[in-house]
Parts: sequence; structure tokens; C-alpha cells
Amino acid sequence: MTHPNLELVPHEETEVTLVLPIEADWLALARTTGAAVAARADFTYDEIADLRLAIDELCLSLIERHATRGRIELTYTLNSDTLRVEACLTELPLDTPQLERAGQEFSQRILDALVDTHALREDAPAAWFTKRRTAH
Amino acid sequence: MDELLDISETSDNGVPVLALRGEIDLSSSPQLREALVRLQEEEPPVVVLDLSDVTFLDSTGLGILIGALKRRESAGGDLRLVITRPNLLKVFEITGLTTVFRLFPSRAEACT
Repeated sequence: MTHPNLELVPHEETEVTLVLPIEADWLALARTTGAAVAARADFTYDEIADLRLAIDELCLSLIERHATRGRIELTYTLNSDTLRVEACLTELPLDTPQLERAGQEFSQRILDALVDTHALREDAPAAWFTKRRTAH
Repeated sequence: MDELLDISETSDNGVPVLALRGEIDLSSSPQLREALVRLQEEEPPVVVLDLSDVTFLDSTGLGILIGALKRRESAGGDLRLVITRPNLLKVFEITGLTTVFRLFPSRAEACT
């Protein structure tokens, strides 16, 4: 018999927060965490591949706009059949240079194609997207 | 941290091939750029980039490939990409790059 305290009750909403240094090597962890959260909500293999790329592009579009140093805080929120990912930059130095990289022009096009809604926040160095999983 | 991208240089049917395995992102793209520049210094008429074992490609990687294509074209050469994974092909489709690059479903076809 399972001890009552060990029974896991599914929540209406699940939130996972990850804080990383703004460094290229750490972005893979942002993708991997998003994939793990989506897998718990039965997103398909293809949807998870889309999410990994969307998370990467969300972070890149934010970093290149605001900062190349500091921290990036990612919040993954699962609500029923929708995953919302918000990325917010924190602890930004005053004199941080912008990120210059190849392929910047493709980020928005990729996000447009892979997620349902996405936007940059006006009031903070933050951006978010939502993606709904297919019914099955 | 371990390297996300493994690059090996080989040749097939006399055509130089860069075979990539792993993920191409902001972290690994400088490694790819260096390998492409080094290979193109020899100015072969055709260079094949085998992406069959690449599991992830973001906009930074696309930018590196576009840069390599422009250098190839300005030198009168040809850059061919081998893509077998649907998720990778999708990245080229949604960015409209399927008509910019020459894409092949196998290395054998790219090297003939």
C-alpha cells in the first residue's frame, strides 16, 4: 500500500524555473529542460523538436537585443494542453555589448512557424511564447 | 562542457566532405565556421556538408551556412548539403532556404 504522503497528485498547472548564466554553452540546458517538461504533458516527438528550437530562438532573440552578460531566467508553465515559456534577463551589467551573430534574421520566422503565440515584453528584457499540443 | 558538435573531414568519389554529428547552435557554430573556412581555402570545385547526423540546427547555424554558400559562389564553387532528418529539413523549409541551397537526400547523390 502506498503511503498517502507519497501519492503524487497532478496539479492543474505546473511551473518549472531555470536560471542560467548568459553563455552560449548553457543554452542547450534551456532546450533540454523545455523538452523534459513538454514530454510530461505528452507532446509528440515532433512537437518537442519544435519546442527545443523555439526555446533556443527565444533566448537568442532576447540576448542579441539586450545583453551578452548577466543571467537568463526561464519559466516553463504547463497548463492543461499548453506550454508557455518565458525568458527574462536579469543582473544585466550597464555596459554589456550586444550579441552580433550570423542568422539573426531567421529567428522571428522560425518562431512564427513553430509556436502559436510569441512576443517581446515592452516593460522588461523578456520574451515569451505558447505552444499547444495536438489532441490525441 | 563536452563538445556538442563533432566534425570529421573525409572525401567521397574525390569530393571533399565535412561530416557533422551533433548540434549546431550558438556554442558550436564557431567550430563549424572554422572548419568550413579551412576547407574552402583549398578551393575545391565542390564541397559537401553531410548533415545526416545533425540533430539540431538553429538560426545561428543557418547564418554560418549562408556565409559559406556566399564564399563558395563568389569563388565559382558549389556547396551541397546532405539532409536526411525531417526536423532539419523543416528548418530549411520554414526559413525559405530550400531554394537557396542545393539539398540532397544522401551523400552518394551529393558526391556524384
